[in-house]
Formats: sequence, structure tokens, C-alpha cells
Amino acid sequence: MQVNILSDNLFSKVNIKSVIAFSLCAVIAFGVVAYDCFFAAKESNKSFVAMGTVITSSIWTKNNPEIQQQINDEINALEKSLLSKNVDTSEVGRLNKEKSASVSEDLADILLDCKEVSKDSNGAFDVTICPVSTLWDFGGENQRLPSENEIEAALSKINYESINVKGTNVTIGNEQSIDLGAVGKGYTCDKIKALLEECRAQKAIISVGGSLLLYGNHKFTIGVANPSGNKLAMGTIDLKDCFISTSGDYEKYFEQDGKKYHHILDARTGYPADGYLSSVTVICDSGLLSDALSTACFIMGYNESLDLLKKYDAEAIFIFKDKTVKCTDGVADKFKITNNTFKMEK
Amino acid sequence: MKNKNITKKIALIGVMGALAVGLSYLESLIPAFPGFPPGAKPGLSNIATMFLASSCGIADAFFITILKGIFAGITRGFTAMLMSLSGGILSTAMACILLRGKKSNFGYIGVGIICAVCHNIGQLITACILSGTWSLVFGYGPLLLIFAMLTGFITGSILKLVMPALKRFSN
Amino acid sequence: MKLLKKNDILVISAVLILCLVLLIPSFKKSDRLIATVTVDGVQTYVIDLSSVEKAYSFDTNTTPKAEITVEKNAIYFSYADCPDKLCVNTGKLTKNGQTAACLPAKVVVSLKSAKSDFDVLTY
Repeated sequence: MQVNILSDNLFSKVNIKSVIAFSLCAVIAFGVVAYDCFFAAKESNKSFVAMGTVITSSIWTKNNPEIQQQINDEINALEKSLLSKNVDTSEVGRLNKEKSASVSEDLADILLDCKEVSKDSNGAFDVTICPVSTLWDFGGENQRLPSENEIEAALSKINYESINVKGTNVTIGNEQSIDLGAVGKGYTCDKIKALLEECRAQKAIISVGGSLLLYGNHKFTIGVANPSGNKLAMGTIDLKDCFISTSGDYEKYFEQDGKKYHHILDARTGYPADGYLSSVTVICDSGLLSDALSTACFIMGYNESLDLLKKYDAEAIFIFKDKTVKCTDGVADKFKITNNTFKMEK
Repeated sequence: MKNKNITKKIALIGVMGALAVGLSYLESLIPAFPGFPPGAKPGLSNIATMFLASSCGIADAFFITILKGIFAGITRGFTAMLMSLSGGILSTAMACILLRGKKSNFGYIGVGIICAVCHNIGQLITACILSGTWSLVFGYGPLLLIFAMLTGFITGSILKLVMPALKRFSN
Repeated sequence: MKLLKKNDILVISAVLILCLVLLIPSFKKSDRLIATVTVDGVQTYVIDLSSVEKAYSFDTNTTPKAEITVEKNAIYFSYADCPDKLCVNTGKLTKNGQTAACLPAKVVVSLKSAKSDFDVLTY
């Protein structure tokens, strides 16, 4: 029962035609949007072993299915030709052997950045830690507890100031040798990001042994590992477009005479760091830095780390040995603890 | 005589339009409920479109629907516009079909529910196309349908209550 | 026009039935636990652990040799020829997100469940 008082309306003449015309436009517009969305980015997942760790990559790309293989190749190349200290074919290996070498711009930049972090961390973080890390050999066949004398002798060889970078010519002192173990994974993430940009991937989330690259305009939910080592998350945080690295005492360690020795060595003492932390997770816009800073902060402890993080515009989540958690201001509101044996402290 | 009618007509559509857009805006201020897809709203503005569909021209009803969509686009973005238009067009089409026949098989509540359900179906299909997966249908479907039933019930009832006043107004 | 007609009740019933129909898939799925075994970067096995009734083991055909055992809602390295045996020592994987890897054999076992509270873990 409708009342057609006003049915002799303005629109009556164009009524049917306009409805049809409009519907046609609507259908076409719909079709275009649907077409674009269904031929949207395809997701591919891969996980493999390289650089002594597990690498997983999830990439969404519209038209580049070979990107996974490219990343795989890049990682293998990086290890063999740049980062590894165990082979002569790599630049680091060559540099350690000859103490003076002409290197790639990449390595020159890495060493300059690491030197900077060493300075800012007052030597707690130092890539010339190789003599000491070789003694401990965490994860290797000769893993052991070195004697005090051995450590003292090796400690004297640690000196980041001896790294001299002039353009692409690098010299290190005769006693020094480089170990990029603390930054390798983060740096690899930087390289992968460059590849993703080249291929114009839509979004991606890459894990190089726990160092993460978040790429694209999409918020991923990141779990922070429970330091008990069960590979479950004790908390989560939503982030996008950044690098995340964690240093913890649960990844590589051994126990001897009731004491636990973990692999994050303090370059000032030659022994595993004890800043009362179980792990530090650093978030920033450089893979190399996120890795270096997580190591540095773990070694230096909470209070000393804050200025360091501010300087590099990085945020961090600290998990203490007593299961309390502290966050820097930028992430304090975003980090959610999901395991209630951990307590957030302001 | 015609001029007077046309003036009334413009005034009426203007008022209905303002009502529809205003209600739609107020509803958009409601924060997203957990468990509901973002953007799910009671749809009170449908009262205006249903009235126009029943008592004025088809084009008038669609005009307001598109207006709502554009308003959503300006204030809440492109996605919101698509959602509003897809749901609104389907819902208004149903209203035209159901409310303009001589004899209606459904009561106000039935029409309200059908229009609300169609509104949500339109939006759900759009959401699925935008996100590239049909799983949303199973995820949000049941909840949206129940929600539509309730809001359809309410809008249908309100329309019945308000119909005499609106008719008087349009005279 | 009336407020409520017989057909309106039909409409309501139809919508409710549609709801129930759409809810059926969510009852079937529950919490599936899916394990992926990757050998040398190639996803070789995908196993739905919640549908496993009898436990079984298989060899990954790698050097060093590694044997994986699959049980209902659990998967683990039961034997490996590698020097450090980290994979075997990881024990049973039973929860979403857990992984075990035999690096020398280049075998990675990881678990994903239908629902997970994070995309990737940083460790």
C-alpha cells in the first residue's frame, strides 16, 4: 500500500534509462575491481637451511615466481663470497688471512657501520672478536670452555679501532681478525630487501635464523620467542616494514659444571655476557643494525642500552632473567604478552 | 500544480537524503565490534531508502543510495564506498521490488529483514572479492545474517510506525 | 501493509537455516595440526597430524641419515646420523610454530595449526 502522491516526479522520463545506464556502469566497475583482485599477488612459501640456520620466506608477488630461487642463490652467494670467516673465497676470510685487502663496497660499509656501533657501545660489541669466538667455537666441533689464560691472550687481540677503511681498501691489525657472526643474519635481510624491491614484490616476511624482514604495506603479527627455548611465543607485536633481530642466551650454549655458557660473548671480557637479560629484541629500519644492536644491548644490559637505541632510532623489548619485560617507549603499547608467567614492567 | 509537486519532491528527497546520510554517519561512529567485520552497522538509514522505494520513484530511492555511497567514500574512503554501494544497491533493488507491487506478500518486518540481509550479502560479496578469498562467507556469514535479521526487524517496525507521519509530511 | 505476515516467518526461518548451513564447515575443521617436512629447500612432505591414527616412521633419504616418526598430533626426529643430534634432542613437536631441524641433513620439520597467534617468530 504505497502512496504515489509524488510519482509524477522529476525523474520519470529518464527513470528506466538512467537505472540501466547506472547498473551497466556499476557492473563494469565491479568487474574491473574483481579482475584486479583475483589476479592479485600470489603467495609462495619456502624454507631451507643455509648460513648454519633455518631460513623461511613467505613472499606475495604478482609476477615473479623466481624470486624465491633468487633469494636462495643470493644467500648462498653472500655466505661463500662475503660473510664467512671459514673459507678463503669469502672477503672476510681473505681479509683475515692477509690483513689487508681490496674489498667490495658492501663489506666496506658493513665494517664502517660495525665500527660505529663498537664506538657507541664502548667496545661491548666488536667484530674483531674472532680470536675469542674461535676459542669457544659455539656450535662447532671444538666447542669448549677455554682457560682464563687463553681468553686473556685472545682478549688483547680484540680492537675495533684497528679496522681501517679507506674507500674499498681495508686494513686490520696483524693480531686482528673479523667475525661477522653477530651481524650476518641481519645483513642478509638487508640484501633480501633489495631483491624484493627490484622484483617489486607486494609484501613479504622473511626469517633468517630468527632475524626478520617485514616488507610491504602490511602488518604482520610477530611472536617473540620464549627464552626457555621451546620456540613458542611469549608475546606478540604487530609491525610492518621493518627489521627485527633477537639476541638470546637460549640459542647456542653448553653447560659445564652446573654453569651455562651461552654464545653472546662480551668483547670486553671474553666471556658470555651477563646483563641479567634472557633476550633482547630490537626493531629498526636496518637489518645489519637490528642484529648488531640486539647483540650490543644484550651485552650492555638494559640501562646502558637506552641511549644506544635512541641514537639509532631503534625500539627494543627486553626480557630479564626473572621473567620481567621492559619495552622502549615506541613499542610499549604495542607489545602484548601472551604467556602470563612473564610480567610487563613500566 | 506540477511546480508545487516538484518543489515538494525536491524538498522530500532532500530531507530523506539528509536523514539517510545523517543516520549513516552516526552509525559510522559506532566502534567496530569484535567478531563483526569492520563496517557492519545497524543500517537505520535504510528506513529512508525503503520509504522512498515505496512511496516515490525507483530513481529517487537509488539516488539516495548512491548519495550515501559517495558520502561514505568521502568520509571513510574508497573501500567504505564500495561496501556502502554494493550493499545499498542490492538492498534498494529488493525494496523497490517488494514495496511497489499492488499486493505485497510480506509484512514490513519481512521486507525490512530481506532488505537488511541483501544489504549484508552485497557487502560480504564485495569483501570477498576485495580480499581474494571466499572464506569470509563462512567466517562472517552466520553472524551477519543474524545481525541483519535483528536490524531488519527493527527498521521494518520503525518504518511501519513512521509511515503515517512520513505520508503526512509528503503531503 | 501489515507489520508481520506469514511469509515473514518463512523469511526468518530461511535466514536461520542459511546461518546453520554456513556454520557447518567450522565444526569440521577444529584444530588441525599440519607438519611440513622440507628436505634441501624442497617441501617433501605435508602431514596432517590430527588425522594420524597409527604411528609410523620414514627415512628422509639424506646423508647423514635421518628418520622421522609421525604420531597423532606429534612429529619428531627419532634417529639421525649427524654428529650433534640437536634434531633428535629437540624432542616431540606438538604445538603450532615449533620446528626441529637437522642441519647436516638439511631437513626441517615445522608445525602449523589452522589457527596461529603469530605469523613468524623472532628468536
